[in-house]
Amino acid sequence: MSYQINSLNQLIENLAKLPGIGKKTAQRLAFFILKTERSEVMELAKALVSVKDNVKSCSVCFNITETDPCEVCTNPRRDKSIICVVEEPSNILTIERTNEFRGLYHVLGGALSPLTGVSPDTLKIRELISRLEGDVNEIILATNPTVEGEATAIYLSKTLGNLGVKVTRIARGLPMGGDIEYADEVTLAKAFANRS
Amino acid sequence: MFLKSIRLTNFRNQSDVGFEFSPSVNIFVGQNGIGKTNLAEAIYYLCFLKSFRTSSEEFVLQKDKNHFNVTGNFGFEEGGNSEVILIYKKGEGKKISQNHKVVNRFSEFIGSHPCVCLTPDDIQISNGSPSGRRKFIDVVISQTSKIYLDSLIRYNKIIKQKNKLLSEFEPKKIDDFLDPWDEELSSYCFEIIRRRKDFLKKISTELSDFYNKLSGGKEEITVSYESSLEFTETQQDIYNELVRKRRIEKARKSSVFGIHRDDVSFKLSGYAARGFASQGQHKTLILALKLSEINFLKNEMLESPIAIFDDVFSELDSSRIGEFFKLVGDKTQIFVTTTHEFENLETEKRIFRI
Repeated sequence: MSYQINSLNQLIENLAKLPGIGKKTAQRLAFFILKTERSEVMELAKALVSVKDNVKSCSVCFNITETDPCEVCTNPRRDKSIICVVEEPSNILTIERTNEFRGLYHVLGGALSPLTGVSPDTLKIRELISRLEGDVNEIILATNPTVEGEATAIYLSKTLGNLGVKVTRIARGLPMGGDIEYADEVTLAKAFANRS
Repeated sequence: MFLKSIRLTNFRNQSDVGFEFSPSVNIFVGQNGIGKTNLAEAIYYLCFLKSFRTSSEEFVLQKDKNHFNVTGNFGFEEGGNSEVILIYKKGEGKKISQNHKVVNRFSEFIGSHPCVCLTPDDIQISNGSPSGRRKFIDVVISQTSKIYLDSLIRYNKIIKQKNKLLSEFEPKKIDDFLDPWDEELSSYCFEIIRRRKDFLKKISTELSDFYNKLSGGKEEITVSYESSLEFTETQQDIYNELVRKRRIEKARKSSVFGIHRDDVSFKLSGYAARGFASQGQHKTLILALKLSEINFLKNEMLESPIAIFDDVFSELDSSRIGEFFKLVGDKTQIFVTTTHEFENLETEKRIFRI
């Protein structure tokens, strides 16, 4: 390339590091930013830095939060006897949107995967076990239905089961609101196998 | 089901070519090296979204071109059509659409266009290593069962994770770590073994019949599943055995028990085909096996499969080939590649000189 504008190139390169953003999209975003009012760009820049400075992980459940412990852990209206175990903080956002679960959460920070170096020691499992000392009656395992998520659920249900707490796994089945016609066949077949 | 037409662009030696097919027998005749197998390969692509010759599309792409296309139009016995378009772009990979809808997960497409393929390499199923026999049954059953294919994909992912554990961690420390993987593994292992045995049971009687019709003899062909595990009645049995034999896997630093180490044994009148059978017997066995495969797919699925026979009839005369086509049955569309014309072949056929 003979035609180079350094600051623009730098922006494109940094944007292209974001997940799901390729070189072309990065270029489009960069040119959009270039056209935008300075005040709006400042707002974006501030939001970027602020999220880094102010959002940390809750020392109890490892959810993302601006206060420690997080709002879920300190909310007196939440049921402290049930803990839902998830892989990532983003899973909590999804579950919260259902408005169905009123207990507490625990974020593992991933799922077991020797290939990427994740072992029980690198997940927040010890921290989960230490939370059982309170009046916890039930642990709900809501790890993903991937092979790694399943292995994690199996590991946890054995480890926690030995400690005398009730451990359950979220059900697998058909998505609601979808026609049976459009369900993928593996999900449908499993829904039949695990019918109630 | 049958393939009505196909169009290839930049596919191997074909820059741009199209064919209209007969629903019965289609014969590609031409000298060696002229590209007959390329056509068989393209038809296979439309059913399995990959080649039977190579795992890299780079080899399929014509030199100095940046994309290739295969488009096929299928008609179904139950009514309706299916247009399958496969586009490979250099650096971007394959994209598939069926009736103008993008196919996101290839595993969901498998089985929608059932196909049986026989190439000279398939003699390996009878006289080669266990991996060829496992691949043979996996390809057949995967077409009839999405759960089977899904279990297989998941099983292989778990094996990779487990092997990593076995290869990198100290043998003393890893029992706790291995446990969840073995438990998960045993559930898929159980499912896969159950379906593999069921498949072999369903083809076993026919296999003998077809073999004797082809050979004119009276031999008993037996086929049995030989698992690397002793007890496979329940998932718990499998899990217990994996735990019991864990010290062996720890010593070898690799997982050596499970469906990725299982085998199928073919016996001719009590003798193992592998090592005992003559070349002729191996070939007859493979032909009989493919006929059984066609019937199995016909019985298990709504649509009859299409059948591809790539350069496998060179030693048979026209009357025996005609007999073979009769055994395939007239509901199954056939594609054959050959170097010599089948003179006096009475079957209804369309001949393409390449």
